[in-house]
Order: sequence, then structure tokens, then C-alpha cells
Amino acid sequence: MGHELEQFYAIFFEEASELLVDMETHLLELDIESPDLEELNAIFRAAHSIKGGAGAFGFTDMTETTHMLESLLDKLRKGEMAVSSQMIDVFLQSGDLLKRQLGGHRGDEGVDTTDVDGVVNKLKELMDNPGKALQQAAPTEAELKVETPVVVEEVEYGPIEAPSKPTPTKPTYRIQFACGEIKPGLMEKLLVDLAQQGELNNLSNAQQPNRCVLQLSTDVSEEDIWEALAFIVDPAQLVIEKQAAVAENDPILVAETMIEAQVNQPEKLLTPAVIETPVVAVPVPASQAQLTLPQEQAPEPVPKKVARVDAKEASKATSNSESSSIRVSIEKVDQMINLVGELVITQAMLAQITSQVDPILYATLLNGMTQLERNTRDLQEVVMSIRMMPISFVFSRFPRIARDLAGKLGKQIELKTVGEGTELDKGLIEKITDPLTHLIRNSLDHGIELPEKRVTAGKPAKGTITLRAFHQGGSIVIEVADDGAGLNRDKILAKAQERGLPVHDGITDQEVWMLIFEAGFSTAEVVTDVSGRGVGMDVVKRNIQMLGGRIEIDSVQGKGTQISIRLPLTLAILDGLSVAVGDQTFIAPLNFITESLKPVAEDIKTVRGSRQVVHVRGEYLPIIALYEVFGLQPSCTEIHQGILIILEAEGKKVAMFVDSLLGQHQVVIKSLESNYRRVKGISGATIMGDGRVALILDPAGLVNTIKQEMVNAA
Amino acid sequence: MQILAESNQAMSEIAHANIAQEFLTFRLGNEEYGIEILKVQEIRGYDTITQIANAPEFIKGVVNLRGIIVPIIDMRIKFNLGEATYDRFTVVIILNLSGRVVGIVVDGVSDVIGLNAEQVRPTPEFGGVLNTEYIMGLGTVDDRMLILLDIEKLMSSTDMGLYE
Repeated sequence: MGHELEQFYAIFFEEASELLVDMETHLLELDIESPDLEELNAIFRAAHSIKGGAGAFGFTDMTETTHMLESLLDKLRKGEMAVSSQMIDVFLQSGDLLKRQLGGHRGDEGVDTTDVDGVVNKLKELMDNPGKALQQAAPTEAELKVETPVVVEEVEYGPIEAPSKPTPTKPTYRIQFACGEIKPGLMEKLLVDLAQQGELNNLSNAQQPNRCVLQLSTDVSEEDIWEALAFIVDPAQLVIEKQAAVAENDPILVAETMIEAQVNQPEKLLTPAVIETPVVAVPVPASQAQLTLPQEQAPEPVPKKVARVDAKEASKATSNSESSSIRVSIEKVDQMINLVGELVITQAMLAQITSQVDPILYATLLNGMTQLERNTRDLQEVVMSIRMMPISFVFSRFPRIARDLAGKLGKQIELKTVGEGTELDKGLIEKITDPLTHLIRNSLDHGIELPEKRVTAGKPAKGTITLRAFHQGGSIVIEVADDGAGLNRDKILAKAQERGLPVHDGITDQEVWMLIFEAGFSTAEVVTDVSGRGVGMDVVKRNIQMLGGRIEIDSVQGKGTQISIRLPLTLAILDGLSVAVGDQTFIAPLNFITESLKPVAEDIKTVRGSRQVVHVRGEYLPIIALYEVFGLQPSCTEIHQGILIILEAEGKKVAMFVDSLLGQHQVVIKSLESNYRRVKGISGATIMGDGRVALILDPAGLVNTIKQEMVNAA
Repeated sequence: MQILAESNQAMSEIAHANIAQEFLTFRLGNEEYGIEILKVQEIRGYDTITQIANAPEFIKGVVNLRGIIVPIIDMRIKFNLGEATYDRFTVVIILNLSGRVVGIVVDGVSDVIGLNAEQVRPTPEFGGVLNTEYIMGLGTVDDRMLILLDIEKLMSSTDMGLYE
């Protein structure tokens, strides 16, 4: 039981996090001048769903926060209040608070109650003291009263005239709203939802396609109908009336009902919505509008058949959209990926065997093999794509970061994102966020200049940071580009020389730019709390390398800087060079290899008699003989008879000596540690086409062994 | 439902009385060993092995077992029994020890034997290659003596150096 509940918790946590992200995105997109109702609705929906979930699990702190948020949002979308940027700030803060509260329930550090109070107070302030907001909203009300000359659309009282059935049962509501902007799918869903509540009759006039008139006989209260509709229909355009179908018998009662119904939603009367009744609306303060509706009995004039048919058709549409996705645990997916990987290997083995048989005798077998190959390849592609997620999951968080930071730094910035739909592995998505955040902060702090400075330089005051993602070959490229000051070659070189790095004036721009990834390297004159301490860029580079990726910089002084990250599509696959030492095969990760060469004997020198180095274009690189490290029997021990692979890791270069190069592969990474221990110099294992295991080298580990040896020797 | 449960219980009681445990027996040199059958995942032949650097001599390396990388230990080298030859008769027992998969090379697998409590004698103290700590007891079947290994304890011991 407890376990089951835990499972639901997990789902709630996941959903709530997604909703919070959603809410934040919409908040940031919201245009304060003319808030889009769709956006407001979306924010409201998110807050409402979180509240519902939190309530179900008894997370009262979250319910309270969301409740405040929701009430405020409700006022906004009903047009009772105007949106202010201050409000957005408070909303964003409450979003953060909710995130932390959620984290608290998840088992992370809880939230300080003072923080909660702070945000809640701010929300309350906005709520109770909408002075500012109301001042803006009030004139509209006044205008409306004057300008809208009570458009009395005294038509469509059809249902009342309809031959009333003798059995009066449920109260009937007349629902009117503008449906021009509602998507057809949503409209159908709405109709289905309503039809489930009771008897629904669609009275919409074909001549007025933008106006939807419904009649509903139901037991549920008016508030519930309002709830059901509010998500889809512009609340400002929605009018729900309780109908008195007994009109002929008791006119006074009708009038009363109508007034009461309207009193219940005074704001609706004041909006440009069409006022339906002949009774002139008396504006009533919201606080007094708490009258309840008398539960009258109304006859049921709704023809049943129509509603049924509608419901049937519409439910087809909804069931389609509901079953479009499922939640599956990542372990299951990984297991499937593993199994498919096995299938591919088995298929390759079979293909190798069948390639030796007589093609005429075994024509059908070979045909089958071709088909098997195609099918396994397709299957692998599809299965791999399950783990793929669009990069928008990462990108969506940056507008907020950029906004906050730009505010702090007094800079103006626009963050553009291109290619949000580009897909990459879920594991990568999680791990790429921090490095990217760092790069954006860096661009904002060091790249983009202050507005005045930009204007003097002839650039628009508002700086632009562009995030771009796209596929290239078998990898994904993510670019962070700014139109800021660009990198200063002289400054970086001077700094590098000051720090004693091996640089000279002749090195290429590319090499100069890469210096900023050195540990502790910063050319910032002032250390801010944002960046400038020189901690971070080296971490970024290391993180990217750990993901099997590479990082490149392109910069033009005065024009801007562009940093490109190139990552493999998935963490499970590695681009590697297979090398042979004796009878063993090893895989060297391609992203650590700078070059491989066949050395000449003259370039091999020894230091202190034993340690061998190789002379490559002005640099002396220490040689690591793989057969020595792993205690193998090589086919050649003379360096110039074999191949040297130059590895670069942790800022050090070494030359790795192997017997020969075998080829380049994409290999599936398997864990060695799940059944065995960690092995020094080895990062994992893979299975080759012939079913044999090959170990994957860990360049960072190998470089460190050299370092240690040197320390030991000294 | 209840009847079924009862009969199940009755069955297991009978089983408990007669056969305490089932053991897979294998030979190392001239000695016969037994390990709990429930720890055995499968038995396969000796395949090409990928060596692991700087591992003790008895760890032969790793193999691919349907996509899992499995370390292979030669018990003959570990216990210094028999001759470590590898041919098409060499047998690898794949063990599943609390989720960890490991393979052991032995001279040959004999059979599966059920032993009841009376057939298992406590281990006498003796020095030598094998620490008695890893022996559950000695089983007797007719004239044969089986050394019953606590394979899980043995494999997870530090002197095997399999896990960290």
C-alpha cells in the first residue's frame, strides 16, 4: 500500500515540476501591456492543477500558496485586475517557492517559513490592495457601463417556448459564450464534458458561428459549470444563466432568478459580453455577490437525441488525444535498449556466418537475412528514439535565468532560441543544463555590454543571446552566441603569460580562445557574484568532455562570441577508435584523440634513460605504452614500429603507444562495474561485432597514471 | 485457495524433511565440490575471454553474456587444484549472487544432488588453501564426499578482489 502511494507521489512530483516549468514559461511570455488570455488561462490551469494534486496528497503548504496564486490569477483573467510587471515578479517568486516546497516533500531541504510568509504576504498584498490594479481596471468598468448600451439580444429564448415536458426535473442553465477562438477539438471536448453533467442542448445559431448558445439541465451547481467552462472559454465572454422555464406561470420568479444569476457574476455583466436579459444590470460589489441560487424545478425542454449523438462523436476525438502518451519507467526503456543492442549483435553474427554459405543454394536464407537486418536496424532506431527528448526542456529554463541576471546586471537582453525541437538523449538533457547555464551567465556577464556602451558602439541597446540546437552528422550541436564585445586576444594572451602558461604570440585565435577553459583563468577586471572568479569554464569543458562531447569557440572582437558544444546523440553510444595491443582490442574515445601518427625513430627521445618522449611539432609528449600499463604481450615493442595516438585529457597531452589501428566504430557502452570492480585506465566495456568484449580506455585515467609516475619518480 | 496453500505447505514440509537443499556438484582436480543450485544461473562452455589489466591470475577476464559483461574466475587457479587447461570440455558455471553475475571455470560438472540435514557434516578444522570460513559443511553421498562451498561468501570476500 505504502509502495503504491509512493508511486503516486512520484507521479505527482513529476507532473508538478512539469507544470511549474510550464507556468514559468507562460509567465515570461506574458505581455504586460496586452496580456493574452490564452497565456493567463494556461498559467491559471497550471496553478490549479498543482493545487489539486497537492490537496490530494495533503501538502497543505503548497495548496495554500497555489490557492493565493490561483485567486489572483482568476481576477487577472477575468479582467478585474491589470497585469503589472511587479505582479509577474511575485508570481515568479511564488513559482520558485512552490518548487522548493515540492523539493521539501520530495525529501530535499525544506523551505524556511519566513520565505513562505514573504511570498504569501506579497500575494496577499496584491490581492487585498489591488488599489493600483483596480484603478486601472475601474475606468473600464465605468466605460462599459456607459458605452455598452445594454445590448439586449432578446432572441433565442427558444427553449422556453419549446413544448415543455410534463415532468419537471433538474434546473436548466443557459450558457452563452463566444466560441470563435476556441479550437474545434476543445469545443467538442467541452460539449462532451457538459453532456456528461446532464442534458445538453446546443442552441447555437448557424448564422452566428462565433456565438455559442447551450442549454444544460443538470443537478450540478452553477459554479461547477463555470469551472468546467472556465478553462476553455474566455471568462469575460461567458454568461451562465439559470433558466426559469416556468416563465409563463410565474414571471416574477423568472425575473428574480435572472437577477440573482447575474448578481452572482457581476463582472460578467460589465464585460463586453452580450447582456441577455431585459433586466438592466445593477452593478453590485463583488463582496456582496454571495447570494445562492434557489434550486428551482425547471421543465426539461432538451431533446435527448441530439445531445447523445454529439457526445458520441466528440468522445471519439477525445479518446484519441488522451491515449497519445504513456509514462514508462526509464529502467524499462533501458532494458529494452539493451535487448535491442543484443539483437543487433546477434544479427551481425548471423550475417557473418551466412556470408560464407553458397548464395545460390541458400537464396531464401540470405533473403531472410537481409530482411532481418533491415528490421533490426529500424527497430534499433525506433527504440533509441524513445529516450530522446526535445531540447526545449533545457532551453525553457533560460529565459528566466537571463531575465533575472540581466536585471541584476543592469543590462538589456533578448534571449532567442532556435531549434528547440531538436531531440537528444534524456540523460544528456539532464547533464547539459548546468554547463549551458554557465555559458549563458558568462555571455551575459562578460559578453553583452551595458546599454550605454552598446549604443556608443553603434549596436542596439538590447543585446541578443541566441541559443541554437541542431543535428549534424551523428551528433547534436548546441550553440550559445551573443552579439557582445567578443573575446580580447591580447588580454587573454597577457593573462596566460602572466599565469605562466606555455603560449607565444604566434598561436592561432582558436588556441587563444581555448585558453579561457583553463582552470582559474579569468580576464574579468571585477569579480562579481555572477562570474569572474575563473571557476567554471574549466568545469564546463570537463563536463562536456565527460559527456563525450567537444567545445569550440568562435569570436570576433566587437561583434560577439559563439560557443559551440558538440555532443553525441546519446550517452549509451560512444564514437571510438579501436586499437590492437597483442591479441586484445581496446576502444579509445574519439573525443579525446587529437591525432594519431606513425613516428619515426629519430623523434623518440628518452628522458633520464627510461621515460620516453616523442617530438611532435615542437612539443615533447610523454609516451604511455599500453602494453606496459595493462601487462600485455605486444606484437611490437619498438615505438617506431607501432602507432602513437595523441590523447588530450585534463589539459595534458600524452602519446599512447599501440600496435596498430583497427578502425572507427560507434560502440554501445556497457558497465564493467555492475559485475566487477573499477579498473584503472578503463572506463567501461563494449561488445564488438563478433561478440567479444573490448575494453574502453579512460584517457583521463591514463594521463593521471603518468602524472603519478612522475610524482613517484621525483 | 486455502486448500492450495495448505497442500503447498505440506509439500514443502515433506521436501524439508527429505531434501534440505539441492547442490550442483563439480570437480576441481580430484576433489568434488557442491554449490547451492539456486545460485546457479546457467552452465556454458569456455569462450574467448577479454583480459583485464592488473587483475590477479585467477581472474581470467570478462566475457559477453547476452550483453552483460561478466568476469570469469578460474577456480582451479584460485584453489591451486587440477590443471588450468582450456579446451572445448572446459565448463563455466555462471552464478547469480544477489544480482551480481560471475562465472567460474571448473574441471567438470557432475550432477545435481539433494542433500538432507543428516547427510551434511560440519567442517573439521584444517589448514591449507581453503579457509573453512567459506565451507558450509561436508556432504556425504554413498562413498563420495562433497565440499559444500558458501559460494556467495567466497565470491564477495576481499581476497577474491571481485568487488570494491
